[in-house]
Order: sequence, then C-alpha cells, then structure tokens
Amino acid sequence: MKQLLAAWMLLVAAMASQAGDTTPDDAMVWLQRITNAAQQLNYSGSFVYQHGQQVETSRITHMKDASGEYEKLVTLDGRPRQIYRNNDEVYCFMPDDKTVMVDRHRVKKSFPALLPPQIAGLSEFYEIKLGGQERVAGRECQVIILTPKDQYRYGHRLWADTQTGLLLKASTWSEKKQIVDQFAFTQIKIGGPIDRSEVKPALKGKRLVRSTGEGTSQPLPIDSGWDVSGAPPGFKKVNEMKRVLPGASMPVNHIVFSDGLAAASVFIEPVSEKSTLGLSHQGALNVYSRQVGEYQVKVLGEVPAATVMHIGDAVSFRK
Amino acid sequence: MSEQLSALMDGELAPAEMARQISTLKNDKELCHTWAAYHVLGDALRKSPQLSIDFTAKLARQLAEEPTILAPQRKPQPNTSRYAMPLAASVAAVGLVGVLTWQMVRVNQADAPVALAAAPVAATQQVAVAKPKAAPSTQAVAAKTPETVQFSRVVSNSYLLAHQEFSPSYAMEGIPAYVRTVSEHQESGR
Repeated sequence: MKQLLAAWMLLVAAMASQAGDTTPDDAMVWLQRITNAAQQLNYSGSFVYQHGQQVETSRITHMKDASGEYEKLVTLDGRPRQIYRNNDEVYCFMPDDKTVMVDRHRVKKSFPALLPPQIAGLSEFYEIKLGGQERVAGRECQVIILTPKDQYRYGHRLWADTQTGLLLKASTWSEKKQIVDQFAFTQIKIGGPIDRSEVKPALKGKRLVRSTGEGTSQPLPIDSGWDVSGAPPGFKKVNEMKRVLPGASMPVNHIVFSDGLAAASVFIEPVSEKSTLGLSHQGALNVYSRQVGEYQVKVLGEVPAATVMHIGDAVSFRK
Repeated sequence: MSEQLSALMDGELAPAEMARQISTLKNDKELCHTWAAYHVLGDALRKSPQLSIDFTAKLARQLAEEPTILAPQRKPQPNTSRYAMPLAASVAAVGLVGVLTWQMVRVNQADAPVALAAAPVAATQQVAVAKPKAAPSTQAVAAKTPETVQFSRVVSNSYLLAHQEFSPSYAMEGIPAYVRTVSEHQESGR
C-alpha cells in the first residue's frame, strides 16, 4: 500500500514538474489533489445540495485510519435518509427506518482513484482549466473548470480547498450553461480525530436487504448477449454483469459506460406491469426507459438527456 | 393593441411580430389580464371544458421542469384557420399565460436560472408541441419525443445505489456524491 502511494505521489510530482506555465496540466494536478484529499482526509461538515428548485441540507463525516475508510451522509431535511460506507460496503437506510439496503462499493476497482493517465484522458472530452480563487465555507478555494467538448456530457465547476485540496463546492451545468445541480459545504472541519463510532451504522433490529441475495458472492462480469453499439463518443463499456438488486427477486443485467468522469448505467430486465417508460430527471441525473422486445431497458446517469437516450436507443439483443 | 393580441391568440402573427407581442405581454400585467380574459371568453363561446383554477400554475411548473432539449426544434407556423385547433391553441395559450404570470412571480428569485431562462422558449415551443394533438398527420414528430414521467416511478433507490457504485465522479466528490442517490424524489409535478 505504502509503495503504491509512493509511486503514485511520484507520478503526481512528475506531472506537477512538467506543468510549468501551462494551465491544463496545473488543472490536472488539482483534479488529482481533489481525488486524493477525498480519500485521505478526516473531515466533517454540513453541506447543501440544490437541484431544480429544491434545496436539501446534509451532514457528512469522513474518516480514514489504518483499517480503511469510513463515511456517512445524513440528510437533515425531509424524511431522514442515511448512507454509510465502511470500506467497500455501502449501507443505505430507508426512510421507513426498518430496512437497510446493503450494496458493494466497487468504484475503486473500476476506477482506481482516477490515476493520472485516466485524468489525462479526460482532456480528450473536456477542456480543463483553472479559474480564480474564491471563498467557500470560509475557506480559500481554487476554481477548476471542466468544459465539455460536445453535448453528451455536463460541464463542471469545482472549488477545491487551497490548503488541503478537498472539494468544497461543485456545480454541474448543461450545454446551455444552466446549472443542473450543485452542492456546497456551508461549514466544514478538516483534520483532527474522528471517533469510529460516529461512522458506524447502527444495524441492530434492522432488516438487511443485500444486492446479490443472501450468501451469494459478488456478481461476475458476464457477456449478457445484449449489445450497445454506438454509445456517444468517449463512453466506453467499463462493466457488464448480472445481479439482483436489493429487494428484487429477478436478476437484472447491468452494463456501465463511462468517459472517465461521467457514467451511465444500463439496466435490462423483463418488462413487468410496474415498468414505466419515458424520460425523467432529477438534478444532473437523467433516466430514460424504453421497451426492447420483452425487456425494459433503463439508462441512468449523471449525463444529459441526449446521452441516456442515445445509449438507450442503441441497445439491442445480439442474434 | 387589442387587435394585435387577438391576432396573437389566433396565431396569425408572423414569428417576429409574435415574439414582440410576447415580450410586450411579459412586461404588461394589464395586457396579461386582457389576454387571460380573451381566453376565458373564447373558452366560454366554444363551450370548452372547465379547467381547475390552478391549472395554469401547474402547467407552468411542468413546463419549467421539462428538459427543453427534448422540445422539437420546429418554428411555429402562422396559423391562418381560425378555429382549426381550438383545444390545442387554448391549451397553449393558457400555458403561456401561466408561464408569463409565473415568470413575473419568479423574476426576482435568482435561484431558478434554469426555469427562468427556459420559460419563454418553452412557451413558444408549447405552441408547436400542442399542434400534433389536433393534427394527426404530424403525429410522427411527437412520437419521437419520449414522454416525461415522474422520476421515482422510473428509478428506485436500489438502481441509484447500484449505479453510484460505478460512478467515477465519486472519486472526486467523495460521499457527497451519494446525495443524489438519497435526494428526496419529488412526488408530484413531474
């Protein structure tokens, strides 16, 4: 682990030394700093999430020690909802207060912490540059702007704490330069010890529903027979598997596409009476659902409506 | 002025003229009332079904929330036949009043840039969208646009959770990325 970290820091250092005066490289280094800070630092604070005309406040805590990463998110408005992550296990407390959905967190395996080559690859689809210095939650921040080069992805504006690199504010905007959603810390404490008990889910007396059925191991990558030819430029298939979602009885095919920053999931399952077809969105999340033969195809992602539709319409069964 | 208004109502204005009228309407509350009154009169004459009082507000809200990217990019054609599409036209008109009224209410609230900017476009395009309902020959155009449905009816938390575990944005955002997963899904108006 330490060697890996050392090697990685060398890479970052190498990137930094190459940077010189050219802004894009500086911006890349900042992206790397943000990624690193999100995983390595202890922090807790309150933040607001705005989408459409809705604003929600949440409290988050992140802790890293020798045994790994622990974090939690608790919403403060509306019905209470909580998410905990203990290393690669994610617990989602449902509002009914009885059920807890348990899922694996595999992002690290698919995207090993946005390694420098991957970040460099982003510049093919986004123009990445540094903005000015701005203050968020009482702290000085560096602004980083990612402008998409086509209509298939959203733009991002990131505010990273100058001192630690932690992302304190992020906004997602559409092709028309309108903000689709954003979150910002209003108060944050970075560093210092955090008690493990604070980030441990209280599971006593809860009904646990797991994503792959009791006793089943992780879903295996498969070739489902489904074909998505002609995904929008830059979106590559990063995963394909058959799995049972928490609380579901039937397995679903889950295929993931990503350009390295944005991702879209394709879920394919037999059409049922409950299947709703059409298009919908919530903040940056767009979802498109259509019927292909006897199956319902659902595409979900933090990408524009054009992208989920493009992917959804490209789904077919290989004969 | 009232001739212009009446012409706008019947879709007899050229696109440029139409845009000018709409922008006049936006800034003239009095004219807005006249516009609404004309439609109430028209509806009464045509014995159109009564709509609930909050119909315009609800429609305006739905229009504002509709992703504008999906609206067909057709230019509204001047409509010369007076009563060819009474229902479609009145729906569009009521929608327009709704949007305009709503816009006046919202104009000082800078927290809704998306909705504000989208509103005039949505209003003009609503005219174009509403037409195929009355004219089946252009149905094919409408069929290309998928229906906008309520978010929570298409995806439940389990899908969001399953998607989130693969979303690379998590690497940068950390746990705040999960806020989209647990965000309160709006129960209505979608």
